[in-house]
Amino acid sequence: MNHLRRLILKGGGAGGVLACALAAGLLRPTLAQAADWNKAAFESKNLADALKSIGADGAAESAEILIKAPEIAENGAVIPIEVTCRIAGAESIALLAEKNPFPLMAHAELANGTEGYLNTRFKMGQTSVVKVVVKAGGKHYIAGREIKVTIGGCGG
Amino acid sequence: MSDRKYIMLLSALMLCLAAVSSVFGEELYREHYPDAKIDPARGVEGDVGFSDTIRYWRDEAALERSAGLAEKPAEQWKLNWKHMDLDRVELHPGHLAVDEGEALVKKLAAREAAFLTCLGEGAADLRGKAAAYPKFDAALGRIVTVEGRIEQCAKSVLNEDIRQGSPASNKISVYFKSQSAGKPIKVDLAEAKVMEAYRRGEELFYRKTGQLNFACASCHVPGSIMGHKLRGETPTTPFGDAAHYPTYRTPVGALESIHERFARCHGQMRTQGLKPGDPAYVDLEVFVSVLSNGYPVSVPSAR
Amino acid sequence: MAEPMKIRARMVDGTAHIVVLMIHPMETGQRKDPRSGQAYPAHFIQHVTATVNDKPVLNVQCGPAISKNPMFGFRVKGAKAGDKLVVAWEDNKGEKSRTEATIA
Repeated sequence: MNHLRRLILKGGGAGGVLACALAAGLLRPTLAQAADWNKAAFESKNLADALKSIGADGAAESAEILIKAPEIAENGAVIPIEVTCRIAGAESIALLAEKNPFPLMAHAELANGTEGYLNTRFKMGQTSVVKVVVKAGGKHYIAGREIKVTIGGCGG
Repeated sequence: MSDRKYIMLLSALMLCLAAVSSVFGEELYREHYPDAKIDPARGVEGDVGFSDTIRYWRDEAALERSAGLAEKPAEQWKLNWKHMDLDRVELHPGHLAVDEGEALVKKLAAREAAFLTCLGEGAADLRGKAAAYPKFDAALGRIVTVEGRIEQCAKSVLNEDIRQGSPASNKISVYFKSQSAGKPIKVDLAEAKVMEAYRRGEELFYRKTGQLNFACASCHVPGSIMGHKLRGETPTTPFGDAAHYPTYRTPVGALESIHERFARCHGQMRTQGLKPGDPAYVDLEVFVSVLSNGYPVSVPSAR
Repeated sequence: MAEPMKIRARMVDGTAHIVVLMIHPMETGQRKDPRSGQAYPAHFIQHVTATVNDKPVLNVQCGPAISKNPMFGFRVKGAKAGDKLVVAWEDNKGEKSRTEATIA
């Protein structure tokens, strides 16, 4: 199934596969992959296991992954993060927070012209290093950055 | 009456007198932060020579040029958080609040069309109206803020309480103000009552209060800790700041009106906050709104 | 059907800048009711997918650590003004939402 999804996401030449799958009634067009939420990865309780379950153990450190996030987050429930990847051909971006009960927060697959960029907001219960894993050209790259979580600041 | 009783009565009387005179007789002892000599007529341009950060956030072009400051923690304060108003990057719950506020206004107006015309002071079209707030309402004989107008219209037309600082009030206010988004704020200084409120608000801005004996000015004028670290934060200039309220506050996870923000500041200054709509907060809102004169209404926003 | 999403999609220098805001509690399953001590059951979006003119462009799997009322911003090169954007999500209880928009 994973293999199939990758093919689907590659678009273009994979259209035939998608059409077949649709014809076979296996998939619905907008949520082709609804069944295979990566439970093992999202329920990993430590960073190493989470990285392993998305196939990113041994990812190379990269300075080409830019992480824009506050140095200090006043509210751990809403931390903005913007990831820009300068490595060409980014296929996926994963966000992980080392000290969260379940480190993997999101895993985004990009296709058909979607750039190596992702902007979202996430939760974190305590100060932690946030890791971003980018897959490009079949290889995994990783970058990290510490975000401090405080309460009761007075900004804004 | 024995002498002893007489003395006790007399001393009790004197104590009462002392207490009364301290309230009515003499001025309360208050300290003030030195006056930064802000000229209200300059509006938001008064920041030139004040924090001088306006050059980074005066308009979109300036923000565009100085966008890099947002990534430098020591310099981010110079943007006065205005980079968060460049909303093409973001959608935040403030945007949802506009829709919710609109639905609420429509629902209330469907019940009583006069609610909308009350908000619009005779017109059902709210566009551009909020930019002139706070304003003096001659019929009511007092200064009215947007949230004050909502409360007054709900009471007079619908006989309903939409208390200032309540979620409903904030949603309607965000919608009302979003109808003036981009319009320069124009608080009418020619109106004597507005100017009186400005002066009262100005006095409050410099007046020290609370356990920490802090004034607003202790953190928000040059020479104070403005631009320096205060715990994890860096206090910014008060110029241009009122333009984005009510705002979606990310640290709180909810909308917050400017009066609620004042009250939160007061809590952090270890002093008793006032209720949204309190006349003192109205005066303070007039003061900071005048310091945003000329700057566009920036609602919805997130901070 | 859950509430519709708020979508902003516009062309900036030949790239479609897309932002999607969803209305969802994103309950983690870790938070406890202070009175009963029982954890609130987890309720969160697990999948977000986006297509431009029916071609998949984004497929996000989410855990509960994504904030309440999730927002995702992404950029699609090669998309054009007028293209049809469809965003859909599905949560762990099987609730779904689907919203269409046109890239401006």
